[in-house]
Amino acid sequence: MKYLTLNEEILLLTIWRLGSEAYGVAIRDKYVETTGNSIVLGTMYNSLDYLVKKKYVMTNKGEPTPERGGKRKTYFQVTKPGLTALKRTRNLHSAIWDGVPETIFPE
Amino acid sequence: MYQDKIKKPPSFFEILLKRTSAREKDFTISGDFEELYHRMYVEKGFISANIWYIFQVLRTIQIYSMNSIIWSIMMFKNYLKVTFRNITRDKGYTMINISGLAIGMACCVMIFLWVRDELSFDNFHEKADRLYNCVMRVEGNWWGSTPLALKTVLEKDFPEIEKVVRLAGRNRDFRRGDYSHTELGGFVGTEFFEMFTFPFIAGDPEKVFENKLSIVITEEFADRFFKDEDPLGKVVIMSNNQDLTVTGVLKNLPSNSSLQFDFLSSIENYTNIQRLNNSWSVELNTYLLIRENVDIQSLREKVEGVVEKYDTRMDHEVILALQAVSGMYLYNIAGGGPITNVYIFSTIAILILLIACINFMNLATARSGKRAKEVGMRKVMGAVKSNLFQQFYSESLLSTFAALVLALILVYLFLPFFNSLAQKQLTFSMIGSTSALIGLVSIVILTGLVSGSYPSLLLSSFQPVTVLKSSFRSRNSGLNLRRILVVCQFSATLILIIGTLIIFSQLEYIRNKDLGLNKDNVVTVNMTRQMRSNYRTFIEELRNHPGIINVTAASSIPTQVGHINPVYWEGKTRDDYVVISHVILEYDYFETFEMEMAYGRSFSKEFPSDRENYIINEAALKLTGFEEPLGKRYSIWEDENEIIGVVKDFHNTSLHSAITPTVFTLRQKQFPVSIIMAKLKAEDIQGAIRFIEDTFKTFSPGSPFSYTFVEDTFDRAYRTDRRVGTIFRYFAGLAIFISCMGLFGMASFMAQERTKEIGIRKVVGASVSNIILLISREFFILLGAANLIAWPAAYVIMSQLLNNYAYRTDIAIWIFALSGISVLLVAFITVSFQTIKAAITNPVRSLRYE
Repeated sequence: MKYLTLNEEILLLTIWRLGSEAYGVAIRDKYVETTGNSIVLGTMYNSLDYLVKKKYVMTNKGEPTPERGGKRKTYFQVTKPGLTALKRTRNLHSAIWDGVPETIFPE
Repeated sequence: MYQDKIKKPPSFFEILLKRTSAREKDFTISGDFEELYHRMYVEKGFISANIWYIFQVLRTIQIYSMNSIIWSIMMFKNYLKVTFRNITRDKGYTMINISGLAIGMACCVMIFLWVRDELSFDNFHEKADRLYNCVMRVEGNWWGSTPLALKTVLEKDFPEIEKVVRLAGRNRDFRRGDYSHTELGGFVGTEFFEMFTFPFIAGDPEKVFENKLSIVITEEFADRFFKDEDPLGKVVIMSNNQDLTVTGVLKNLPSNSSLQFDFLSSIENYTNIQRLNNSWSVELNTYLLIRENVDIQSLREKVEGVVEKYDTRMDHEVILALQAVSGMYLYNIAGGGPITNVYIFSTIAILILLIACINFMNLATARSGKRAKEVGMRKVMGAVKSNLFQQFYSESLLSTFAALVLALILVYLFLPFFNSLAQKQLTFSMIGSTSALIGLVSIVILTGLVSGSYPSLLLSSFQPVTVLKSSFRSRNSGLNLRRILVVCQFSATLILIIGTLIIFSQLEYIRNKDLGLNKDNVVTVNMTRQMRSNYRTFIEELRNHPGIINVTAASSIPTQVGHINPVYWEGKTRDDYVVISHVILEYDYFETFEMEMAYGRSFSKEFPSDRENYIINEAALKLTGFEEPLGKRYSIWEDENEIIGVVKDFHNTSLHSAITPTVFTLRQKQFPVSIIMAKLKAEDIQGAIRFIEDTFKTFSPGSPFSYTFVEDTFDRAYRTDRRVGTIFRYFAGLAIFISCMGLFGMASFMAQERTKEIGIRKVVGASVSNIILLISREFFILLGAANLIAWPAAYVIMSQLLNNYAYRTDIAIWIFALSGISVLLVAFITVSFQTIKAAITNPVRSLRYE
């Protein structure tokens, strides 16, 4: 069974969390905020493209703004297959984390 | 929140970004970038924002490039798959194609190695670009020999010249203990080793001739005389009277040196210093090393008149010229030389490669019809013309590469054979040298580009609509170009064949031409110093042997006249002289060689005055204009006497040059006789030779005995010609082979394509021969056109070649006719072989497809 990679998982959830404001810059900001790592915009878009190709995400176009030099935004949205994939991955996490006590972790 | 003035990110990188993210996202990414940039700018300032932006752009570009590379690799995998499928589906055609290319490339490579070797002659000397050989033009004839005193004069008058050295190339006999052998070599000044690069393996180059009774030898010489001993310091005896100490041993000379020798001794052993510095007798070679950055043209102008100025003996017109050592081998002073062969073979190489490439193009283009549907589909699926171009070009490059591998194998296998043909020692590893690799790579690239060009262009231009219709007539794709290509191919082949035949007939002409003398079974023996006083007795002794018909002696053998002298005659003054060839001989010279007299008689013992009189040849007679030559006055230098005979012209040099006017004397004034010649009976030649050897040993004990046959020396002059002829023959054969392979492939392909047509014709009542004629007719027309082109072209080229000969055969019509007909025949057989197969197929089978 195909699972999501960690990055894909993070991106999908981020998109979901942002709801209707899920576009490039916002996704990136949230990603940086959550993981603490910066990410190159191009890399992120690459991964997003891949997600679109796998049909986990779909895109819409938005309005242009002056800060963007008059260019439009592309909004991302998680699709049903995407949500299914997320669920699958979450079940996997539960499965593998099941019953693991806090005490095993070192100080 | 945002400033009134909106800041724009650095434009260069913005453009870069837009260019690489070729995604139809309405510039979304760049919009995101700008937004972030703006934020950065506000928060962190101008510099940070810019740095961030540039970094982000670069990384993004990197990601996108990797993407497209991965895509290209994926496409390439597909192309490879398709190519392999094509190859395995048409194994026969692919084999034909690749082998044809391989043969063409192999020939190219071998000829390339040969040319490289030829061009490298004498270029291994460190100072090769500054070394020159002195040559003289006397009265219109060129001579490689120069006067003894030339060196002194050149050193004195020309500061542009750094060093001058004299080289007297002579053979000498050497003895050590019981072993004696004649060795090739010469006498040089010490500067020789500073000018020419011949590495020493033992001995000090600067000290070798400190003591003049020294000798420098090569490894080969050392092997012969000293076997495993160290030769340094040991003694060999030269000419049976001089003890020379070995002061140096040289590495064996490379084969691409026109200076070949096994020993070198001090020039003072050749003659004394007085003579060396003052005599203007023309006897040896003079080489110069000019200073760096000297203008050779102006030096050439300055030295022109040197010999005329200082040689006061006569008023010759003598022009001194400087020949570059690096070109010495390739370019004969009088024009022509081995360089002609270089041009010829380079042309052959190109012709053969062309034929092979044309083959490839033809076959590939012909089969392109089959791929038409594939191209159509690809275009429908979104392929652009450049994609298709890429695909088909990589196919042909792949074939070229496979051909290269095969070609290298062929070269490896056939190089020894080629070496024996061309008398060279080329090795396979020579391909590894830089210049060779460059040459090889360029051959491959050129072949790939040329042979792949047309098929690729044609295939990628197919329009989907046209090709996907079932009515597409694939066999007409590129028909006209293919016709042109076949014509070119066969023209080239015909040129090669005609060339071969012409060379062959010229060689036959040489072999059969009446030379004006009979040189069969004549043995020559060089006189030794010991024999100089009593050689006449030697001759008489030889005459006694029943197996020896006649014996004589001369200063040169009849086919190699080299000495010259000025002459004048009745009606001319001494200042009005002409320089002609001069042979000094003993009685019975003309009789030994069965030369006929046109006027008068030969020298005879009955007339003591003959010792001072002259015989001239017809060419010399023509110069005088006498109608009654007998009794007329004739002079060499100051010796005036009369003409007692005129000998019919005989060829005194190879047929490359005209017969020179020659005068013959018994008087040994200017130079001596040195060669004894004996005509032997055809039976028991070995017995006669043994007798000569025994007699020789009694007259010249301790000297090695060696003999040659006049006819061998004569034939040797044509060795190169024969070799060229043989090589031509092989290459012509190869060319025919390749062309026919191509024809074979094409014919079988066409036959296949026209199966239905043939089937219908048979049903309607055509016979097998009708069909064969029908299909072959097209090829015949093309061949006819090829003949039309090839005949004049071959005529022009071969006339150039034949200009090397003063005496040549006529270019006969039968040669052209024969080539044309034989090519026609071979082509016909090839084509009909395939068409017969198609023609005897049961029409039912071929028409079944509908």
